[in-house]
Amino acid sequence: MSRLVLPAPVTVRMEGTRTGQPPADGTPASESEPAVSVEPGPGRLFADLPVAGEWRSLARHRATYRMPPPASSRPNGRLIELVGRAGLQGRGGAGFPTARKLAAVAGGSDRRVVIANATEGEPASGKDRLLVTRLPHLVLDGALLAAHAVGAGEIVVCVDRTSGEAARALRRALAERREQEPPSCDVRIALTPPRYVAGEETALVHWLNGGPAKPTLTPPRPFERGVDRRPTLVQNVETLAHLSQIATFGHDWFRQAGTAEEPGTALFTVSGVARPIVLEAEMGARGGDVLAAAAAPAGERLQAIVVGGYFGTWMSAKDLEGTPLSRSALAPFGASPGAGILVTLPESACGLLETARILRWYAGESAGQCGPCTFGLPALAKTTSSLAAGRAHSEDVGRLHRWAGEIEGRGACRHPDGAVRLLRSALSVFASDVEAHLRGRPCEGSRRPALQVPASSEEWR
Amino acid sequence: MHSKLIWYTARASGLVTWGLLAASVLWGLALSSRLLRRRLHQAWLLDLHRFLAGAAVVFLAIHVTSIVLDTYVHFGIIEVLVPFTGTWHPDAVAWGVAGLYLLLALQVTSIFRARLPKKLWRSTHYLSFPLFAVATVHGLTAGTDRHTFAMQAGFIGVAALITLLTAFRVVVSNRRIPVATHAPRALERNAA
Amino acid sequence: MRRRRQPLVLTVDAISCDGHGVCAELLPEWIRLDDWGYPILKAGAVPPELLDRARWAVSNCPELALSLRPAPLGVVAAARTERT
Repeated sequence: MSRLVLPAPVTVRMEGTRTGQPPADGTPASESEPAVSVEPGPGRLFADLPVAGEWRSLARHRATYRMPPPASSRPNGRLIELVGRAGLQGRGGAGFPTARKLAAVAGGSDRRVVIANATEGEPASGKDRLLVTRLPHLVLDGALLAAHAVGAGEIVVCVDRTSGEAARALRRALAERREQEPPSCDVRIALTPPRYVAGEETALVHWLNGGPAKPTLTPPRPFERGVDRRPTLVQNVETLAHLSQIATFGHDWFRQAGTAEEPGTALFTVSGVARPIVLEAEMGARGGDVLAAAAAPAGERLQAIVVGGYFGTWMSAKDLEGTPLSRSALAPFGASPGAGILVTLPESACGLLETARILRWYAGESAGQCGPCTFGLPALAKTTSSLAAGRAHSEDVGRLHRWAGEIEGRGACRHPDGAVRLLRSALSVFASDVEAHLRGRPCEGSRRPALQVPASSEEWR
Repeated sequence: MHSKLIWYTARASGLVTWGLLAASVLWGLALSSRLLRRRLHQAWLLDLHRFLAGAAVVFLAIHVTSIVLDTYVHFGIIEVLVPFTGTWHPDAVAWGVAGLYLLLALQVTSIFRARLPKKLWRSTHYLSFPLFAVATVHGLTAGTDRHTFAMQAGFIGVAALITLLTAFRVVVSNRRIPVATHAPRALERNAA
Repeated sequence: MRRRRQPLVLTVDAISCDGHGVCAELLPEWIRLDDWGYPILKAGAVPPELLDRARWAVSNCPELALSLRPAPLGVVAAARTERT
């Protein structure tokens, strides 16, 4: 099965977003520069977004964004502070405060490395590829800024090797740079194997160090010892794109969108019953509004949504409708925006069947290093399949709960935890379906799978 | 009489050392095999594997010592520790000297396992297969009883078995084999 | 001079662990096996009366996956254990 194919992205109009401001102090302005203003328009990352098949050239990009200062081996504390005041959080799923991460790497010894993570292993996500393909210079500027902030001399942009378009776009962008604006540090592209866990920090580092793209035990974390045992910053490309904007437009500007604890905008990929689409919305935008902007086909009502990607949680459409998409608002539901992924499930589909399919995918994506994951996930998948097919008994559901409790936390990485979380949310959100299926009455819609769940490859190098 | 006793000791201890090595390798293979994980008692396998290896070291020491003490053929310390320095069947003896060092490396790394990097222990431990091969060749070329059918059949038979099992272990990827599926609460618990 | 006893926790390196189950055999009060033969450890510091057996279990793990290390801050010594 092919991965998500995206048509034109859409921006969700935001209220109260002001036009671009002159650069705020704290930005590394060694020379005085003219104030920069931005045309007001929909979106921030998506402001003036090129259409499909096109991309923003370096010259066009430079018209708006100032050139990042050169990277050196000395970190720039003021830039890190600026990022801290902006309150930028990682957009790769964990939502970790970016300034803290930058400071941790800057605090490490010399010869630091920046990894721009565009691997996007989540099948239902398309934002990173989109950014890299149409706005590569925004991402590259962000990477250079990050390198300047932490004092790194090397940047590696990691892209899934099956997304040819993204790799080509990056190569093109780098070629442009080498011609017009030679980067101040080494920048190279690395094409990763198409595995889900390959995008995990330690897995990326492991692979770059010559091993398989499988997670390793921590400690040490990459910020202490990563590529070639050097302090390594691993940052999602969307986070780096926001970083570019913050450096040009300032932290006040950044905080004008989003909530106080979770400022700024984020890219959300909506798929499932809605046609796959990437939107930009403020952090804290209502779930219902984002889904409406994704224009789910009329007449096909939504039953439930997987919030945060396959690594996320099921929520009923009713619950998500009025809930802001922010960590704090989603937390009571056991959910989180993750990497901004919403997979919608229509009324006609069977949530348990789809969960079983996703669990099977989870099992296929296991690195196979830890027993509870290697053997537990297939067991969860198989039993959930029987449940979906109406062939399970109540002891099986009891066993699912027991296994979930036993598998959780016992792997070297969080992969099995994701499966457990998804399963538990499914058993809760689709509780009435569970009842019906136990009585031998599976859903009518269970004949046709609704969600796009890809097959797993076998490559680790 | 006295010298013959020493010679018999050297012969016997050599055979016993080889037998203990073979057994240790077999127990080691069983321990690493996932197919037998739930069928054989793992703590016992590990304990016996270690014991057999340790006993092999002891009997090797007896073997080497009695060879040095034996006056029929001249073997000094140098001749047993450095290959190709003796006059009696130097090739055959060289295999034995090589085996001595391999076994020492294995034993020392295992004693200090906790203090060594995992990779070092693991790669050294794989030497147990060449060690067994070397010991077998040494026995078949230097052993006093090498011309008897019993010894030849025994050595070759056991060596073939171990080769087969090792090949099986290498070819069948161990990682994918489930250790247990819905196993009942594993082994009987008994307080140590 | 008596050294103050430091709370120690048992942890398993999930990647090295190969489901031999020796640990569960040697320390059933603290370790049990899941349905696939892999160890489930209790949380918290190992009570002093089990420490010797815990060390024995650590040294007998065929993969050296089990280890006993100082408890991270906030982990309190567990009360008298019960059979799992």
